[in-house]
Amino acid sequence: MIELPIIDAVPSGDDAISPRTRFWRSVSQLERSSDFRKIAANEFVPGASESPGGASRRQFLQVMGASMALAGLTACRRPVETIVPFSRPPEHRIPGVPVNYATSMPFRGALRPLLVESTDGRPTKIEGNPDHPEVRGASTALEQASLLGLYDPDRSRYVLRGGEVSDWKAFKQAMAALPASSRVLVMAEPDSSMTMARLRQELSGAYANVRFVEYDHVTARRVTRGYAAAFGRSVRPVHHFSEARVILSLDADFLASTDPDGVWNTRQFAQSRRMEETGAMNRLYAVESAYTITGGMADNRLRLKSGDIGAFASALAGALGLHDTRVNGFSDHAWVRELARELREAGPGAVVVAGDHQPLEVHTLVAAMNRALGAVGSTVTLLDAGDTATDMHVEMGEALAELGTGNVDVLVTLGINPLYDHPELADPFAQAGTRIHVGPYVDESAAGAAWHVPETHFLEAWGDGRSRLGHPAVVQPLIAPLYEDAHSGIEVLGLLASGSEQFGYDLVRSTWRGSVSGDFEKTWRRIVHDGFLAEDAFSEVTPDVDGGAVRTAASRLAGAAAPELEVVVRHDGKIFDGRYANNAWLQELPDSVTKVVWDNVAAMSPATAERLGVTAKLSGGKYYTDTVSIDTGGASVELPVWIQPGIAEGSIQVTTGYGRSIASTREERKTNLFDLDDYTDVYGKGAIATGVGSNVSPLMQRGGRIAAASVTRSGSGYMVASTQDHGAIEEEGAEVARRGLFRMATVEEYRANPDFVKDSEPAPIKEDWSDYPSLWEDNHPTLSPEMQNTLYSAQQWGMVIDLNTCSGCNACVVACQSENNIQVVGKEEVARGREMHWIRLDRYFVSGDGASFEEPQMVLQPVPCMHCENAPCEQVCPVAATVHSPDGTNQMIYNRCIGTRYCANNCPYKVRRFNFYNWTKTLPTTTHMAQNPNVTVRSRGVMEKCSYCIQRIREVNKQANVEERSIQDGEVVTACQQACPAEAITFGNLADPESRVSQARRSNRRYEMLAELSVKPRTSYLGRIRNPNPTLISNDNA
Amino acid sequence: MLKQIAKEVKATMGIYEPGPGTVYGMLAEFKDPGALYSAAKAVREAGYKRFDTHSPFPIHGMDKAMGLPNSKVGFITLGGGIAGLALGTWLQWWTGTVSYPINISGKPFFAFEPSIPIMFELTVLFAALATVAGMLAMNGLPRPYNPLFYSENFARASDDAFFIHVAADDTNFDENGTSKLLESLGGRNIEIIHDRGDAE
Amino acid sequence: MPVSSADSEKTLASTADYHAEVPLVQGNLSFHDITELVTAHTEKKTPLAWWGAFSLANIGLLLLVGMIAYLFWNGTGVWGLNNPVGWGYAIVNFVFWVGIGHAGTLISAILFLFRQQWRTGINRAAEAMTIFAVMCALVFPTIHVGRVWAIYWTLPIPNQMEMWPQFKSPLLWDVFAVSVYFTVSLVFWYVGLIPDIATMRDRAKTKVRRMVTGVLSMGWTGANRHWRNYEKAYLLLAALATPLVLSVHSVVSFDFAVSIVPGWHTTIFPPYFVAGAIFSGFAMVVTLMVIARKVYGIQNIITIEHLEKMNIIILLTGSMVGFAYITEFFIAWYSGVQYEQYAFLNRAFGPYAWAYWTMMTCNLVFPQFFWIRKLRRSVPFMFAISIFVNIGMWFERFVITVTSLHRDYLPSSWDYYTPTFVDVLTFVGTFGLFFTLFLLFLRFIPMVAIAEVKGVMPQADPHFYDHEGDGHDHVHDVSLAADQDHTQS
Repeated sequence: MIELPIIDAVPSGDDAISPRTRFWRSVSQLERSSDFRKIAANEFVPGASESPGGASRRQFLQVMGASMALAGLTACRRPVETIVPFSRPPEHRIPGVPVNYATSMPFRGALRPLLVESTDGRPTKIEGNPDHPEVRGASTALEQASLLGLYDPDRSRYVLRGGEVSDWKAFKQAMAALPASSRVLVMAEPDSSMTMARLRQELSGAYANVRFVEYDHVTARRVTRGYAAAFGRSVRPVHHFSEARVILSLDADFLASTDPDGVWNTRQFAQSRRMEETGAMNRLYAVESAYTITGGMADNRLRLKSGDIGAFASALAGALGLHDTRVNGFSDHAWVRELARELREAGPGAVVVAGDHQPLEVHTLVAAMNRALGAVGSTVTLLDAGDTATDMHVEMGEALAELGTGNVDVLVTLGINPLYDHPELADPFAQAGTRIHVGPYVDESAAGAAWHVPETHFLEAWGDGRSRLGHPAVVQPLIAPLYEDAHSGIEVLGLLASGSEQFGYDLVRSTWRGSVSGDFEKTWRRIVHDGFLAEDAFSEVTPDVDGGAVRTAASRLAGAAAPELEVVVRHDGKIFDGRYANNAWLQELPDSVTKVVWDNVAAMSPATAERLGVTAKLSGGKYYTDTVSIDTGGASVELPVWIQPGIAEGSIQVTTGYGRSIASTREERKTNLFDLDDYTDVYGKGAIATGVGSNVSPLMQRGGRIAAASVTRSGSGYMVASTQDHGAIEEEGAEVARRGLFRMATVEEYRANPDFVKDSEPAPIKEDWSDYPSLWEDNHPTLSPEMQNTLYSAQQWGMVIDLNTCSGCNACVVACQSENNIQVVGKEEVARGREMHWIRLDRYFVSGDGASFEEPQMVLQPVPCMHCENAPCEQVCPVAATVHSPDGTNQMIYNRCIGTRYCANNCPYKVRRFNFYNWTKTLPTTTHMAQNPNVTVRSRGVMEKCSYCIQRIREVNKQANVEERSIQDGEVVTACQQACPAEAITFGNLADPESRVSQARRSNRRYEMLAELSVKPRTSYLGRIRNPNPTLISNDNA
Repeated sequence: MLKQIAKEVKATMGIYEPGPGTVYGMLAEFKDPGALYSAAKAVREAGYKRFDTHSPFPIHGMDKAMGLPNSKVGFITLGGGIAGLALGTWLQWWTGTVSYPINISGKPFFAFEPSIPIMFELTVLFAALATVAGMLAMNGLPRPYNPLFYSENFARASDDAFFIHVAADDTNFDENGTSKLLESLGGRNIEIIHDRGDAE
Repeated sequence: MPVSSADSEKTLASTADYHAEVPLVQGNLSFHDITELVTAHTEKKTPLAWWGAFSLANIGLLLLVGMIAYLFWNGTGVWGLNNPVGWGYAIVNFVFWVGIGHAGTLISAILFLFRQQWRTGINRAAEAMTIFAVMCALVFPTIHVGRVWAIYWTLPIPNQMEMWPQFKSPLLWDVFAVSVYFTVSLVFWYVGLIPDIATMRDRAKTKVRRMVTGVLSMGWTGANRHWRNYEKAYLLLAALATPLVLSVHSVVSFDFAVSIVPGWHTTIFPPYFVAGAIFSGFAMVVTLMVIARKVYGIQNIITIEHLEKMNIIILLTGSMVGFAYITEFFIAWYSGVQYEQYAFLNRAFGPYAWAYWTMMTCNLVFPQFFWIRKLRRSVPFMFAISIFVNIGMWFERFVITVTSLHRDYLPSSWDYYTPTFVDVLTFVGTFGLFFTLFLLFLRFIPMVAIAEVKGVMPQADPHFYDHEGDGHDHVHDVSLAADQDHTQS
């Protein structure tokens, strides 16, 4: 085991700064010249102490304590003591014992409720807020990974003035000096923050001319405007898939982490898939151009170009009697007929969803269809969220016109990166008198700005807002800003509005004073403690449909036919629009479908690839693909090809967020010839995001995400790293079926034969391990006193994963990574098959019954360690470094491991991961702080694997032992289980027949992977049940 | 008494006490293995016990000719083997069940099947080492000092010459008689070996 | 002394016709000639050629050291291993070298028990080769672990934590098997050396030489009282080494056979591995002997007869190995276990088919030429074949280790293994180590067991003199024949 060098002394080039003075630098040295700060720029690391060499945890505590104190000391910016712990009052805090705080993460104009674990004053783990009705403790990969975002070593640390290191004080003075006559233009993301709203008012009061543009490049308000067109007013549709019997997804990936309602949708959808409990099961139709995880869950899936979705929707609306425009090609499409019938039958139990990259007319029709079906009020609720429904492009146009004519003195961009999303904005921006860029990174938009102010991470600053359903919530910081120049958007806005510095804490409180009735302090404490206000929420409305608007939309779409070759720009499932691009966890997270990491690719179907004459060659287990240049008239982008079945013919799928250029304060690592530290240091090559993939924003004309494109082969031999498909995809699919690894049946088959999973056991299962008692049972050590008489033997841990509800959203993967200090290895190493994830999502394309390989079914299967009863890995270890614990887990003793890798060879599930290099040696200091102190950080040459979160188990063991009680079911929650929005993972004590996991194991859908090997895995699966419409079983692509 | 036993034991190793004065023994060369063989036979029949033949390679049937019993090395080998087997078995049983029992792949703490390889290896190892140790011990090797080395001629004993050496402390040994006997058997370059006790 | 003509191979062909039993030593050599022939080169001035070869070997050795240093400094990542393929070159090379390290002990032990007197000509060199090969082999399991500095945990050393090795692990059996094999081989070799070192001692001119040989020979005088115990001990060692040599590769094969990886989990492995080991071992002996006997002009001691006998064994074991290859396929099909079936089809037709078919040609096809007497007595031909066999046997281990791992149970984990330059150079480096040691052996140690060779010469039998008196006319015609043939050519 290695002791984390939490702080390593950065070689100081400047002796003038003695450690002491440096540590307490805040007050005195703030006055220092900017040259000093330039020197300092590369030196100060958050919570820096200058202990030579590595620091002990004790020193770390001191430092963190000091930095908290520092936070108070720097002009008392944040009264730390008013941060209210979630579970215990602060005075009871014990060093090393984590404390949980409720807070929220702003995302796409709403707050995602969180519960954050803080160890000794630093956030170490993020979970969903268990009390919040929308998430119930679940979360997505994005929230999980945002922890690493806080400790991102590439975050901007200093206020920059024209690119030169300056400081907050100077910025304050500059802002105070702004004349009241200034013409101010503020651009910010849609934000639910009431404080922000309040400050907007103040701002417009403060200056002669203030224009505020709500910059929503993500959807360009397509959804809101589409619904508004249908209903004549702004509404926010929220779906209740738990109520739904028939769901139609029109190119919508509503189960994705990046969907505003990702968690909510996934859990609700999962609820109506559990047919054992509910008796019924919903049916999901997916009509989409890409293969999304939603498409993977679909019972019937139709490949259709995104450009044709509109016409399809129009035809469907017609079939539902909303209009009588005839749509060539679709009006008598088998799917349209069948869907119309099904949806009508389902009535209020039906729901139609459209992807937010679809034009607003589609959303208008969707709104109308839902209304007509009676879905509104049952499966869809329309909330009065006050979302802006005006045309963003008009507003932008006006704003840019103003800019162009030099009528803007001050341009403020709050937490957005417009020059990345719209490179063409560079010129108009240059016209602005003073451009102020507030953002977490010195990025594309920071370049050329008069001022850059580092923006705080949401875990560092106070804020507020509303969740998707409108529950007001407070964003509570868990740690003082790592960089003292960092300020939140509202603080900058406050400064701008008032000319004097106002602290987020006060800003937020004064906003709430106005809104909260009764004893403010009491309510305030409760809000901060719970993280949200349950009693308040958006009101529901049921407006009537404006038939005219629908008909115009329908006819407009009826005419629209997809181009012969289209490019569809989607949000990346991991780094979204690029705001998470610098997050190593997300960069190394395999895309749920393509399994590609550290890149964005132009995904297309095999047939399309053949037509374009491009290939992805597999050589030596790595993919060397051709690159294509995609041209949408004017703009062209070059991307590597990714060939993948299930994508609509002639449709090229690309994702946003890559090709970032972020300035890094760290200089590149230089090493000797014989030393590979420069290779193993993932962070060593400048900012994480820099140089990864390429920016596809130019492909979006006026924010439109579906465009006609001309694609030409521009190069070849580009290496794409993927965590799977090192063999032929087709062969893999076939073998999976033969080996019965993933078992599924249709509802009918299941009803006819509830034991279908048994029948799909591959031969030779005839030989059961119980046939050889002498071999498997007689003097089995688990029965021996040595194993019986221990503190732990009462529990026998086990896990069941329900493949029926798992959507493959990746939340578990990142949760596990965050909980267990799993290191990132970088593109090259992943390509060499050395990724470290303890739980992975195996993705297979099964082209079953007659379906062509172009039309395969996609299945996703989470695979953690199976903790086999007779673990094959244990017997082969020459030094007993992996053994069986009395509570039945297969334990890995890192200290004992000498790294023969024999165990990994002998693991039939291949869940063991080997530290080929010393991955922690080169970790940046800040990143150390993201590590979980309760989990050993593995050294080089050591094997590691899923431990069922043994640290959590032992924590509960201790508690129960101290309180002299037995462990309750559900007390131990593994990281993956907690994160899972679909509640697909059940974990608990197999010895207790009443425990949820024992009940799950009694399900007739339960099967063990590779059971015939007699390893008796503790982790087992519940077979998937599909509910396809038999008449549409052959996905004929009209 | 003990001295006497030690003397006897040493004699079996071919290590003899010097006779009267510094006379250690008498060395005679013979022309080929055949001659050596018949000579050895004759010397024995003449009643000599403490004599030895020296040849560059083992000569077939020479033991019978000299009237030597079968070698006892085998018993030492057996002993070593048994010790190794015991150790191998005990080591695996004790560590597995007594010292630190661990649940490994749900297999019994100790079973014979998986223990056999190491039991076998240790048996062979100990047996082999015992054999060599025993052989050297019974031969009284290593023996850096040997009066025979004073004979220039004797150097050829490891090349192509064949010698008989009669020890001086053999009861029948007397310089004239013995040399006559050896000569009559076709011995050449007969010489007296002196145990000068000091390296030249 | 008669010239040991390079053509004497042909001689034997002719003499063999009218000699019931071809003498093991040809050219009418006396005991002294043998001594001279074998020991002379250890005494004369070091030839330049040797220095050339030696420095070449040393470069290889340095390469090995360098690669290991690079590995230790950076970690196992410098090799081509990945997640499904946890064992690559290191283990392949280990098995390869251990396999080669079988011939020596086999020749000296088993053939000794079978009274195969022809072994005497080659056993010394073969044993040396064994020991050096095993040393090369031992390098790999040592350096292939992730944390070399903790490797001693595989030994049962008492410690305060009472942590013991895990005796159920085949890898641990390996540790014991290989180290025991090495120790016993070394002892066996040394015991065989004692009389010859005595010979060197008695010929020693310089003081240093006398000292060194004096200490090593332990004061050996060739006394019959000693020969008696010596021969018994030698016999017993042979008897012990025989099961040992068979066990070593069986245990090595357990590393694979005891696992549950399809393609590894096979009961046929132990015999199959042993056959393979002997196969490759003999091939290596042929390779080395063909060169050595030429260079040192000892064709009369290591005769064509020896080589032919070894070629026959190569033919035999080669066919056994080939049979095993085919049996594997049959078992895979017959067992009905789909994983096995897939594993073997994948071997023959998967991404590593090239390796598989290389193995098949080298091991199954080429040795079959030895059915033809002319070929198995042709030195250049047997040299070529022996090289092919060694290549083939290396590939056999590669095929078994890598192709089984790279595609096992879960298709999601399938991957491909490509060695890095470190893998390759480390392997090359071990040849440097091997030849460094072997050259030192050739230079300083009698490469033929002098005493044993003398012992099997007809003149060594005391009863040989009973009738002829002196047996010189008995071997006379051989020399005549030799001369005749000499003139013929």
